[in-house]
Amino acid sequence: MTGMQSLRWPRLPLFEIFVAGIFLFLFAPIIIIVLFSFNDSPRLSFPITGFSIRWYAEVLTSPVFRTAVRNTMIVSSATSFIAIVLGTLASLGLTRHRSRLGNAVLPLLMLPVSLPALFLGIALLTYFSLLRMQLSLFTVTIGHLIYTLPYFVLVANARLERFDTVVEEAAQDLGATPWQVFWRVTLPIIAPSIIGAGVVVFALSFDEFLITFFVIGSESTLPMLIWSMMRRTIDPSINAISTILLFTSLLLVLITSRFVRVTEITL
Amino acid sequence: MTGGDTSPRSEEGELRARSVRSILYISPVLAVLIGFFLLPSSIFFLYSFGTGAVYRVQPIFTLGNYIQVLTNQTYLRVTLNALSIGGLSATASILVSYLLAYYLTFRLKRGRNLALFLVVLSLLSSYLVRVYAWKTILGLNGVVNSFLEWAGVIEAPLETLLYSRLAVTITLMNVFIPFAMLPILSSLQNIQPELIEAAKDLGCTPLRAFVKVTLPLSMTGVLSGFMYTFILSAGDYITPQLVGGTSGSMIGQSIANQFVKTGNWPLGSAISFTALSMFMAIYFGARWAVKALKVAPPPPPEYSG
Repeated sequence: MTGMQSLRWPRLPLFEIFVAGIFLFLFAPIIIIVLFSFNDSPRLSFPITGFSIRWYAEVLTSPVFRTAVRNTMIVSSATSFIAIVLGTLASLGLTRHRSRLGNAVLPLLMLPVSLPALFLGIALLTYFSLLRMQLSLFTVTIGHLIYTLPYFVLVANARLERFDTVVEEAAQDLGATPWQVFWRVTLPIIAPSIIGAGVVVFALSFDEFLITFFVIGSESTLPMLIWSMMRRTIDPSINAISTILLFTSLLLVLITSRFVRVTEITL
Repeated sequence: MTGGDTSPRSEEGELRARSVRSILYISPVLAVLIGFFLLPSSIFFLYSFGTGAVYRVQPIFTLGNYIQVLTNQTYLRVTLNALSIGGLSATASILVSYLLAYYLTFRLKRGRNLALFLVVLSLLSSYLVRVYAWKTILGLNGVVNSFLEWAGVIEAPLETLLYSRLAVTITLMNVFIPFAMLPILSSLQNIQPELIEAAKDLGCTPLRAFVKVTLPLSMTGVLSGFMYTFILSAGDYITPQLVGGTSGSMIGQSIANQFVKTGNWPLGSAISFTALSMFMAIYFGARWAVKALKVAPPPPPEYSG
């Protein structure tokens, strides 16, 4: 048997090659965009002619870009803040006590992310119009909240389910009020996962395009800016804006991974 | 709670108090979900039975919108397109993701965290940017064509790369592989390695152990991954618009047009719910097929320790 094996051809690491190929496939579009954002020529084709940061200079001085950044920051921060407050409460309610209501809420909470974003965007558009609500960054925040809450609760629940309530009982036995127990025992323990989940929400909101597209009205965000530029002409500064967006995602995922296991966002 | 109260609360009372607190904690999120998801979706559904006026709906009951959807050749074609492209992308994504998840779980020792980090990074990297990137990669003067020309492989750019069903499938796979991979990974990681060892000790070949133990135990993840990738890719709106052309156009565009361009909301709603129910039917059909083939997970065994 061993003799047979030594006669065989050296085995190609096929599995390894396949996995490397998949990662290459996943990151090819990202690598291409980053490369072209530094390309000297406005043409989006090979060979790359030279290194330049002119597209970044163009983008960073553009007032349209600044407005889009400001709006995106407003929406993402507001969405994360509300998601953290409401989501933490919901997570505590869902994991501390198995109630019939809780069992019904979790699938309902997951429903918005199992439907195409187009559906949620249009349903909200017609609803806001029915309520005569002016489309604005506020309506965008509502849309983002519905879309991001499931992810927040998933990540927060993952930790809260492992939470040992014995420490809370101990604090209570030692005379702490419920309020003190929450602020001095519960919160410090769950804080990392809340921050991690909050950053995930921020990252999702930061990049969200489709729901935004339907409920934003005349305002602009970074993805909306990219969209409007894409439809006009082939403008190489799109690559610079895209790279800024991708780099921000990288930073946010790095921050997330400091606090929670990144795979906890599994749907 | 009064300070002097030292009598232990009855277990039932404690349970009820916790139940009330739990409901109290959940209620804000529930209110948001009802107010801004359930209610809008229900009204959106009711609209499909209404009579269209421009950018408005008249409350006159009709089934006409559904009849129009089901008898219109164009809607039929783009719906079938959505089902086939979505089905193909989802199936291919699941196959690729399974191999990837299997490798990360059972083969990769060092660098697993980095690999997982990369998968999540890809998942959270702007979807719009990636779709746009594929447009520049596959375009007539795009990266693939210009590279092949520059390298002397082809003399004229390949026109069929962009604006085709293939372009849509490739782009959707790029977007949804990380989505499909995470639930599969999670179900593979939950498999106790002893079960696979036991199968091998009892004389199973590695392949048979995989088919009899690993695959059935990971089927929950596969089905969940399939559901998300299939429904989300079949209902995708941006990808077909940017890289699909006419042959790759899908139902999302027809739906959006009713809201953005023509303003026929009831028709748009009817198209949405017709498509959605077809997506659901396919998903439940796939789930049923998996069960019928007996590769579905057995009832979860009770572990005592």
